[in-house]
Amino acid sequence: MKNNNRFYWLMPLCFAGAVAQAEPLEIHGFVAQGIAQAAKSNAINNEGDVSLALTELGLNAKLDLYPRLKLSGQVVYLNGGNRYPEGARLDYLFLDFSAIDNFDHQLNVFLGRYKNQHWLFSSTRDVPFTRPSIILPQSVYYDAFRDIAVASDGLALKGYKQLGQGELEYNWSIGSTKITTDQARTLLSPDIQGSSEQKYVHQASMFWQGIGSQASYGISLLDSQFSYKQANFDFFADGDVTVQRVILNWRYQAEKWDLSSELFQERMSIDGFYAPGFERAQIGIGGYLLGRYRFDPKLTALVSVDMLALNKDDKRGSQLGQLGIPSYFGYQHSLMLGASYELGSRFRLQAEHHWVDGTGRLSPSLVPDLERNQDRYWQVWALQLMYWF
Amino acid sequence: MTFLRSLCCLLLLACSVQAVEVVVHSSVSETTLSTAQLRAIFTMRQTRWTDGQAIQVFVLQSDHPHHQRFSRDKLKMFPYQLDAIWSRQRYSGIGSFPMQVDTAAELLILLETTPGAIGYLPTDTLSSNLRVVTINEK
Repeated sequence: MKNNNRFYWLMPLCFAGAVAQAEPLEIHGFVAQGIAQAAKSNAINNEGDVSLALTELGLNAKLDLYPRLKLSGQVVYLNGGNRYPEGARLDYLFLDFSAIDNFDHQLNVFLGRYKNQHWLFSSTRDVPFTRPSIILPQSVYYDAFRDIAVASDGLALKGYKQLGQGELEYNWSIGSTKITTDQARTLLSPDIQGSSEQKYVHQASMFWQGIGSQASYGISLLDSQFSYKQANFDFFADGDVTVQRVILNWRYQAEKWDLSSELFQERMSIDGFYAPGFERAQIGIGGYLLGRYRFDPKLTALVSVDMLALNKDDKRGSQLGQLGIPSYFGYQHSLMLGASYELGSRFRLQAEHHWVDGTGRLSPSLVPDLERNQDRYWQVWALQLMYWF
Repeated sequence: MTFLRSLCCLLLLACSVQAVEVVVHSSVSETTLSTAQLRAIFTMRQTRWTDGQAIQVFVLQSDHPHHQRFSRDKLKMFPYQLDAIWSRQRYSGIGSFPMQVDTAAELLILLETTPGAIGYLPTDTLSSNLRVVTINEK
């Protein structure tokens, strides 16, 4: 096991110690294996070959310690090729305290490593059967950022309030995620020698659904700061990166079909890193529209359009030429078609194909891989078999 | 003629799925719930009755006709929405699955014998040991 597992090894001890005192204990999990290829890009592997690097395993447990206090944890093993570092992780492990539990208002407080509950698919983006597609829209769900965005160590609140005209869901969290060397290399550059840390990530979100309405609306805010500490012999300098993001989301669920969309604007400022005294701030924009149609209880078709511009003042990336970077690294737009078929009540086969214009969401993020991504247009397909219990 | 035959078949099919009522164990004091409150219970967010007793939620499998009727008529939701909410909450550590059983007969026994239980039953299998809850559609 490796990666950001400061206390993953404590999980069995926590549950073993508590089992003796309280019941019930719930255990669930999932197993998924797939095959994927992204020719003409480093999205899956450096060669662009067919790859089996599409493995996702998870085991979780939840234990009622006291009537209002629960302990929840999940460990996962992931192999997504170049999409994120391969290995096992403590996905979450937190105490869940029910602070308010009445018919019109529920509020829970989470302490520990909690999942990101702020975006439409963020809380279970690593649980194959709960997400709409194998590879989520990269504008919002950037794979290289997966480990940092999926969970944080700290404090979070989640509440539901029944109001006269509908239901308000609200979330708030503050914490940070340890960034391992492998993650930093995926995100920044394989050539870094120093260390990275996330100083904090502060998020808040609200979702609203009116009585009798099939539509829900939400807003999510994120403020986060990262730092890079150079090593003794390092090509890169000390630096700070600040990310601030606003996401608007919308979802409509009908009997046979549903639509989901998230639109975001993100300000990223970099001080240092590339060189001492370097400063750059830019605002990126993007979003996706994803639709599903259920032909019958087993067969579902999927389509999505995803768009991203890293700099809203230079949507076609033409200014990147001054830095010797091809303009198609400044954006990434894609169309995806897919389908899923329920082979049994807990078995699903999913397949999808993405046609992509641009490489703005291929890793690494801060130092693009120009050598392996020499094509503006590229494609990725994936097929995955999943089982859960 | 073919159209009329198809329509008759559809009507017969619709009638064959009986209406369901929300029922609770005799230990539960609530007699009326709003649709929003019923949703809070069946999405596993509301875990205690007003007297502090733990809520035990029982349902049939998602593809069972009675479950589908209950989801649409009482919760005003589609069964796939419930499945998605349960999975998302359970696999991110913040919720549980309800107890799922295969038949209405099993459901009846569990509802009758589990303090704090809530579920639903077709109208012709209601038991005097259970209390029917009125759903206020506001």
